[in-house]
Amino acid sequence: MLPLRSLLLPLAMLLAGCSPPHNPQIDEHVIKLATGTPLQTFDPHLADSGSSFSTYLTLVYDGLVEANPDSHWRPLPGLARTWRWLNETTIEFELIQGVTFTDGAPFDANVAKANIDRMLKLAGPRVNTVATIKETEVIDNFTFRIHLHRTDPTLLGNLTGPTGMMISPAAFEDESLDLRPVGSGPWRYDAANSTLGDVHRFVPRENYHGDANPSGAPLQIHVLENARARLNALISGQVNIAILSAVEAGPAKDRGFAIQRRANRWYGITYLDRRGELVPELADPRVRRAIGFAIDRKAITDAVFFGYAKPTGQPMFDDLGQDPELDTYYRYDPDHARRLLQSAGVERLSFVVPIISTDSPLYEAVQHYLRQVGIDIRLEVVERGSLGALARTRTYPVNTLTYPTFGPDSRHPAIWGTNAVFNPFNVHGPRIDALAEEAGTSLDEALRARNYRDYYHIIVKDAYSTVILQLEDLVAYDADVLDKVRIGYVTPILRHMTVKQGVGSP
Amino acid sequence: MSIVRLVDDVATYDDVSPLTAQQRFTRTFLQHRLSVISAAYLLLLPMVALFGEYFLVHDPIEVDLAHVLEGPSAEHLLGTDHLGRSTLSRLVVATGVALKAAALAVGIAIVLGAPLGLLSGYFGGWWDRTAMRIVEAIIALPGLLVAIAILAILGPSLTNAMIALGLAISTAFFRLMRGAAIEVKEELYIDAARVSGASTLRIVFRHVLPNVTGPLTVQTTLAFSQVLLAEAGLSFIGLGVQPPEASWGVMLSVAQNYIYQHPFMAVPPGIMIMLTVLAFNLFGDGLRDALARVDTSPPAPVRKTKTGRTSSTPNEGNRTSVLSIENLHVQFRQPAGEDLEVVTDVSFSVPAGRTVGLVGESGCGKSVTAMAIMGLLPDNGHASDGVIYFAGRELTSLSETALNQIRGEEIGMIFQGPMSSLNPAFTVKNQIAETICRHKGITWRDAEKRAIALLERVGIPDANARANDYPHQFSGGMAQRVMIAIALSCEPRLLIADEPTTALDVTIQGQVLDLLTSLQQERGMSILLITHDLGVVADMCDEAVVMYAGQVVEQGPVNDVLLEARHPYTAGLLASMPRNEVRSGKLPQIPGRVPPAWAWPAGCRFHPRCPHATERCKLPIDLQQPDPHHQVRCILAGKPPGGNH
Amino acid sequence: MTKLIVSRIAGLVPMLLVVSFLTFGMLHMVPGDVRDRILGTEATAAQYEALGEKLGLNDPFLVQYGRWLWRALQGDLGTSAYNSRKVTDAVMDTLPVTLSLTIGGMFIGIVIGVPSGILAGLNRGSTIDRVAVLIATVGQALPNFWVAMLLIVPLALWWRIFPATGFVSPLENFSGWIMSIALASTALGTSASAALARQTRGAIIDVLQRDYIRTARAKGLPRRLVTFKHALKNAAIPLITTIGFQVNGLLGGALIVEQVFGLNGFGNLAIESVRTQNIPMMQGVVIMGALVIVAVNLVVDIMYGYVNPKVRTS
Repeated sequence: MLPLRSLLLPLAMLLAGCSPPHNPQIDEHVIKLATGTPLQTFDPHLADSGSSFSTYLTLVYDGLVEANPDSHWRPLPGLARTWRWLNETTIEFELIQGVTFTDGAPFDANVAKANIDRMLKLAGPRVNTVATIKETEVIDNFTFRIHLHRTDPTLLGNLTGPTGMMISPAAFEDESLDLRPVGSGPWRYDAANSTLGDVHRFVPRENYHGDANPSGAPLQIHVLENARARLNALISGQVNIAILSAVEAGPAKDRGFAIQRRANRWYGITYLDRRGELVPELADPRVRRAIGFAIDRKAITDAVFFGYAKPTGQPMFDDLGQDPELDTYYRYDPDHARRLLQSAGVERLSFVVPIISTDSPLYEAVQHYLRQVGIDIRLEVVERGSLGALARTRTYPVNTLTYPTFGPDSRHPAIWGTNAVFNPFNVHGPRIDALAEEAGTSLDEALRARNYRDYYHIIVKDAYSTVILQLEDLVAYDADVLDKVRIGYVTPILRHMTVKQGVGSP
Repeated sequence: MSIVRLVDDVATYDDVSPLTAQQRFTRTFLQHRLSVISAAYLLLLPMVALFGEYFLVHDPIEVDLAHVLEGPSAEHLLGTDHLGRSTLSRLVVATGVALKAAALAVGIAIVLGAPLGLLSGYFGGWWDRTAMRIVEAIIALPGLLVAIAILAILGPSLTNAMIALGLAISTAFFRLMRGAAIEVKEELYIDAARVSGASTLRIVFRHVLPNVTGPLTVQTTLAFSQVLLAEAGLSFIGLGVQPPEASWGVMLSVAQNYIYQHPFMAVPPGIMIMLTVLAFNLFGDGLRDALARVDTSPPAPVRKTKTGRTSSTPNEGNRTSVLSIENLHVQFRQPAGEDLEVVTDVSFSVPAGRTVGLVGESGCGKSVTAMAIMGLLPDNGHASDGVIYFAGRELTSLSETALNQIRGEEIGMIFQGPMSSLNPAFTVKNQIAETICRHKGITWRDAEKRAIALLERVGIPDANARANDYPHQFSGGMAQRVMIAIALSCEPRLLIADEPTTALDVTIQGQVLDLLTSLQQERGMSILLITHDLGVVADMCDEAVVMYAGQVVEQGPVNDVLLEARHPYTAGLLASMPRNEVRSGKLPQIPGRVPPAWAWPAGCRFHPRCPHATERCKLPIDLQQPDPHHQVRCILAGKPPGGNH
Repeated sequence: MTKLIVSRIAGLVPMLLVVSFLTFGMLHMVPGDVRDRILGTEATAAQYEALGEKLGLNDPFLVQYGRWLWRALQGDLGTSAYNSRKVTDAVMDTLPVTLSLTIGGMFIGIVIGVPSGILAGLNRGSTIDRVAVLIATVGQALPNFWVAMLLIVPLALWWRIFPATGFVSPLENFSGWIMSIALASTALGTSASAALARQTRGAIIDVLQRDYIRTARAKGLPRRLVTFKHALKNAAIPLITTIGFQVNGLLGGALIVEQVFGLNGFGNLAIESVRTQNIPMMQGVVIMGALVIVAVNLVVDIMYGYVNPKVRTS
């Protein structure tokens, strides 16, 4: 007979053994973020630019240039101190000196070149955003050039993403790089005390070259997939800053947490079938505009998103192509919508709208408003991530894509351009094609601004898409502990965040 | 023999009233008030799902963004949801979705599991083994994980989730049908020759269906409650029904998002799930009980008080008798509340050092009489009248504690099935020693020594080692020897042996009886031997008491009773003896069977089966005393009936 | 007894093979291509091919299964489709959470269910019995996650007695571990205790009708001894099997309940793997889940043998 204890012991070890014990730090000095985004990979050259990147990779890696929370297209200096366009297709970077990676290797122009070359060779998910790069060239130890196939005004902005991140060359071939980063960033990843998908711990680097972590605070990232769980974690003090959704913002505010918000993603109906092959009525811009007028954006914003969204008819926010006039272009006017429909000769209209399940409340509300003007949309739930693939099957007349409210250049080849990925019917838009082409190949900011202003006027007024609102990303945090909290394009910017001095010190 | 079967011995609940199986089913089911309410609720649900919408004040898709997340009000009885829709209306719509989903999954489970199980059980062989391996493997997989994995393949949606769940629970139907098919097939093998030509598969099918209808219905009900819970769970984690379609699980899932703003939102759908699952479970319980035909709410126990006449005449009984029973009546309380008499006016005594045989067919009240002596009648049975004197004490009025002093110490008892009468979880030594320890107050160690000695005495070879064995390691005969050792462990004055050899081989029977005889001679105890076997009575007994339908019909010295049987029933027993068919209830010389207690006729209870019955026999008949020691309950007592010897 | 254990373990091998084959085969049929997810929508055919090679998607099914099985036998369940995270590591990171909830739920189930079942069974037909049966029947109908939601609001959000989220390892802080799983375990334990109460009651009632109980009474043993010695040990035998069944249900319940508490357990891993079509991960999750169930059944078998001399001595 086996003694009971011998059965229980391995069980106890199994229960306990796997989560590593962590050394209790002075918790109040730690930045503790709750996010729903799990770590995908620490290899920036294989990473996408989503929230996994901005949450984890920006901590341990420095980019050639750093993202600017105030302007997507004017990056801040990173490992490159300065840069200048030598001509239309060559850009030269002056690199900073004295930078070392966590494995001790120094950073210089050769390393920069090797990184850009590796990134191009590995052809990760973001390589198409820097596809204009022809070759790289080392001028001297700390001078480095990128040669392009053609002028690319978006290149610098795009290099703030994973494509511009610098890895220690010694780690290039390391199979485990994706979970053991070797970068030069302000924090070092403490893999031994981290559990993937649960808690990730980052230790401040002692002799970091920059000021990205002014308080020298350690950092923890707690992965809690459910936003309510993140709120619970914030309230119970398990974390001091949490990425929330609109539903949780109110309760967090009620409990004295500070909120930072930024309208980062626009939601709306994009008309794929603008020639009317599936639903003839949709070929008439008046019908599409009527939909724009039929929706009470303010009511949806307040009721569905508790005010944490921007009711607007335009897709851009705080970037080229944005125009305050477009915010209010589609005021709520069901009578006007009915008149438009009448003038288009449409009495009743019905079509299928594919949605992903989590967007359901928004589109159920939209459904309600459209019903008031005689348009009956049937919501069909499709799998998350399949909207794009489904668009190409030409099954649905519309799509409910969600895109960032910045980066006007990349919208054109993705959504509205004649050959755009999500323009399966290849509806020809000569005017917007021309505007985008000119803007996308010019370094002249004034021209770009003008073109994109005109471009988005067409998108909105001719109702290529009916934007409903721009949803805000938001973080709630303990303002007694954290300072200089800003929210970036997707996530809070953990760099430059500070822990208030004197808080919690014994 | 269990206590339930003991009751069988006189008149079972089953036979308590002359109802058809269907009536009995209906009656038992209707007795479950909660099950009936559940059934009504379950019938109502589809109605609500189908027609509920027409009675709703608010359209379930009527969005009202000005009134979101409101609590219950006169306008919205269950409040509003995150889009200002009426929760009540949503609940009604969700009922349809939930029911549809559950029906789909259960349907898939049955359609998939039942025929495959039937075929698997029917064909057997490697096909069956393979199928069972797969079924076992699926059962070993955590059900919800399987569902999640299947959803990984099919993508989350209501239909897919239900397919997944249907697959996961189809194993239950598979096993049910397989078991039924194997059972029927084995029965049919015997008749296989006779049914040659016909398709056996069809026959199996035809035989299986009626057999499994009941269990299948119960299983289906349970599957419904399982699926409803699982659907709610899957929808809750976003893998089941997808919004905007709403099931109860989806409503809970949505409610969870607003738990800070509006906790009440989580209450109505949760209650709906609970009530519906509860209803399915209760309905299933009621159905199962009704099918099992065993009442789960037993009749109330009877307080052991007598209302009798004879208690006023204290009679110490026959001084030479160890046991003396006078005018014993035993009644059982029926589920409906009335009392049913199963032993009527029984009197006999067991003289010191002698053996008395209590004889009769099954259902004559022999064992009940023995249990009444021991004070071991079931809770709903009691000695309603009469007295039982044992060694100067009246047993029916003794407390449980006082009885415990007598049981095991002064009266030992052995039973028909030695295997089932021994506790399988303890060694035989333990079971003997605890009796000795209890009554003799000696140390456990000494009790164990005595236990081993006893085992040696009853003829267990290598007793020292075998004492540590468990009952299942003994053969039937050996086990009965162990029982005898237990019964005799405290050297009782009376041994009650209830059919001690019936369950044993013929050769073993003799050995056990010899053992009893030699022990009796050694210790001078009395034996009350209950048996249907007149041969055993002839061998062992000094006196015989013949019982029929709860009454003593003839008693006297064994030679008188056996050689000069005066009651036609005794005569019938004797005539049937060589073929030993008394047990089977078919006496070649006597037509019919012992009637159940509720059907005992007035007058002579034997007269419907008696070849000599007259009109007089329909009137009550007292015991007659043709000889000083011989008593007979028959109008023909004066002369031996039949005249066939 | 050792022989029993060895033969049981030997019997598990073919079963686990079937389980692994079913799982592997099933997940092999997943439509769509994980490469779409990894590479995004704008990848080239060469990128596709290269990734397929890396993930071993280009080989025939049986070759893939054989390779997977061979590695699995060496304790390597493969690597996440997205990064170099070992499936084994991911499972080992999350399993403690789910097992803790399962054990906690089982503990509550046994502590509440068994005594009340005994009490009800011994007093069959009494008021205690009726009340116990009613509560148990209702308890069985409660969805675990709903109970969890109902517990979390007052106890964690209003009064803050228990944490609303987060898991603490028992080695790190034992009382913290108890607190971190208390609410979830209670939620799981309600249905488990209800089921156990009903089963225990049934077992007691069944055992009390057995012949050997009558024998025990005929021996003059006091009722106390009859109940606590002769009845309980025999009633424990079917109960152990029931407890084994409960573990499967509890494990499933834990997968959902951990979502309510935002715990990073097995369920989270499974759901995340499904959402991202991380097939290697999903395989590991299902296999390890089966392994846990099988291991529990083995322990149940052994315990069954321990209390049941028929199994032990044959």
